[in-house]
Amino acid sequence: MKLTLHPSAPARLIPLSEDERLTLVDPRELVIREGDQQNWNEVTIIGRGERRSVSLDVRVEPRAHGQMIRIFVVPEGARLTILHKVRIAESASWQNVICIRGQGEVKIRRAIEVFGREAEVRLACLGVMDNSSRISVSDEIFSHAAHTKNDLRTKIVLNNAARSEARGRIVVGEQSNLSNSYERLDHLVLGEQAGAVAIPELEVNTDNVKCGHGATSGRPSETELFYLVSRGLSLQAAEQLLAQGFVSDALVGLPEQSVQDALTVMFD
Amino acid sequence: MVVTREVYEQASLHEPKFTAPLGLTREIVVDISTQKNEPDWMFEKRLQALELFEKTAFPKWGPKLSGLDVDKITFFIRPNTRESKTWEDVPVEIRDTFEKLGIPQAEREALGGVGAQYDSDMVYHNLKADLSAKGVIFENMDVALQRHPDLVREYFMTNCVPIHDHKFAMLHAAVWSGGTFIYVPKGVKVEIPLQAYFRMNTERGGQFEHTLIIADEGSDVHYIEGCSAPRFETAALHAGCVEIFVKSGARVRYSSIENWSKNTFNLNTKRAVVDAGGTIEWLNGNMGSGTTMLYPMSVLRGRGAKSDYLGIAFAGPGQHQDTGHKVAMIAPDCSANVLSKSLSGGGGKSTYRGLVRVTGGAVGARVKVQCDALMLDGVSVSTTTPVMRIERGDATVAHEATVGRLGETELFYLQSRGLTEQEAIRTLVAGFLEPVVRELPLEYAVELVKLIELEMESVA
Repeated sequence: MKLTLHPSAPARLIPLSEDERLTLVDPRELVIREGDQQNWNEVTIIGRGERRSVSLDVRVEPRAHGQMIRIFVVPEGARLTILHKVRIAESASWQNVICIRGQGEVKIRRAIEVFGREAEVRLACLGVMDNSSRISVSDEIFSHAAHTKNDLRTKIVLNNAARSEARGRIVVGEQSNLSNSYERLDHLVLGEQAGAVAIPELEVNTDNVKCGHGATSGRPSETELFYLVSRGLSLQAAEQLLAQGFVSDALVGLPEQSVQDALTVMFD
Repeated sequence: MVVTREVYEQASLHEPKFTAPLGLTREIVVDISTQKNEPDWMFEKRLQALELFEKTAFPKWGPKLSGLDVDKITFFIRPNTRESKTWEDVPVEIRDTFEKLGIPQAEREALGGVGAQYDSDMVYHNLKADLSAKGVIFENMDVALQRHPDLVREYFMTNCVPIHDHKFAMLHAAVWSGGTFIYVPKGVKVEIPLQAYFRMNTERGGQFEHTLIIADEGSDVHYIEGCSAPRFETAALHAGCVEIFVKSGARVRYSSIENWSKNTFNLNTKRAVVDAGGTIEWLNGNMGSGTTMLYPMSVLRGRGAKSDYLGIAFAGPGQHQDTGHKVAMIAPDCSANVLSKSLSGGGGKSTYRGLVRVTGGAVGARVKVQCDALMLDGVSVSTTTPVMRIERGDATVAHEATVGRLGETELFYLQSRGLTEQEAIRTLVAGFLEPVVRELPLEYAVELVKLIELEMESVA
């Protein structure tokens, strides 16, 4: 089957910088064939001081289903760039969860084009960032067909002086009637010196849709902290427990092993 | 007042006493300043701003401005009259226009003072004697420059909206004319609102009124602005500027209903600087204009300063309403609340573009932003582009937005109770806008609802 991109808003493959091109490993083109189901679950530990770029070009054919959960550990001095371009046909689904435990620099760019009726896309980026680390996330979903479901979530815990810039954009095209889209960018700020930028964008070009977005930035609830401390936890342990709860709701529905891996890498 | 489209869209036959040639030149800027007999510092400021404007490119973001040709705009048009303190002294054709807009009636019934501007000059200005006795100053901006030069020099386009702020602030500083100056002394509460109404009447006209409000410590004032223009085939330009200084413990409520005609580019700047314990409340309605770029901003620089913003925008056929609110928090314990409602129909485009900036010094900042968009048909567009830039760990910031259309169930329910489809739609739209409309004084709320209904007729 030949897939045609929507002419007015083609999925944008973000060009690599010179440095990213040089450090590009593992460039992959994936095709999930009609009716297939494929799952990936990987844990990758980047070396200290290493620079790595990961590029992925995915095509999900009709009635195919893909689930990719990738967990990265990015130590101090390391730099990770993740680039995804995904095209999704009718009645197909694509779920991509990226989990980061970061002390270095992380850049994530995902452009998803949904052009098949009743297709479904779920993107999540979960991160726990320490020290003076930096994370920049930019996700875009273009929905061109009717009855699509689009869900975009970013949840980042910022410790110490970590910084995050999260941008999400959902474009609901003229043909995307009866689609249901939601976007959420949340930061849990634990470090006094930490900072966050959130830019949740929506562009809706037809009226018969459900569409919403939300963004929050803040410290853990004082009441919840008090409750946990009064039960014998140290303040730090209580904060970590609330941070786990903060990211966990984006892991609901994933395979148990993946959830365990993600939580272990991010919080242990 | 009977709100009909003709009230707003018919031009008066008044012949101005002076009309500058089309386009923007140094000679025109010099002429404006000379005719107004301005002090040297203002003359220099205008020229400096013109130089900046000429060097600065048009913004590359936001709505298309390609239809705006400054060489085809008249930047200075003076009506053939002087400012009066009684409506009887205003030329009859101008007075008729303001009578139709309901201004004298509103003054009699509900206002503490009124200013009325026609093209580039104020034609009427009056303040109730009891407010004057309390030391309240409510004057035409040109008059204030002559009578209170030190006060104006200190606050006029200095550290609230400096002349280099952006392209259209530069333009405004070069060619501003008329507008409102308000000073409320320490501790004085102005119980009833003050109002100014700005009317453009000339084809290819530009209006550049400047509003400067200084609410001294512990004072309280509500100021209302209304704007309209007749409909022509050629483009018109409005690039006003509002600067508000809210001193410690003061409160300013600024309400504005902008209903420029569909040929108008409305590229307006509004900003408030709020000191400790002060409160700024914005209520902003954007109905008219072909293209609007308007983002009222609150700079909360004193401990415990507050900002409250309520906005409505309606984008009908051929319109792009690009509006939103910006808030910058600099001091501890500041809070801001933003509620924006937009409607788009008939192929119109509404954009919410906002900014929340919490700086390192804003300990314990709290911000809530909610923007709701209602789409009246499938050919219109709604976009939201909020930016939240948080530089402190202890800030609490929440943003929520929804985009949707009128509920089928609600429409069915209302129609089953005997309402026509249009009546049912009007009822649901009124409900959608209610949180904003209820904050207006009754007579303005009625006018706003009627204006929305007029706009919806064009969509239907």
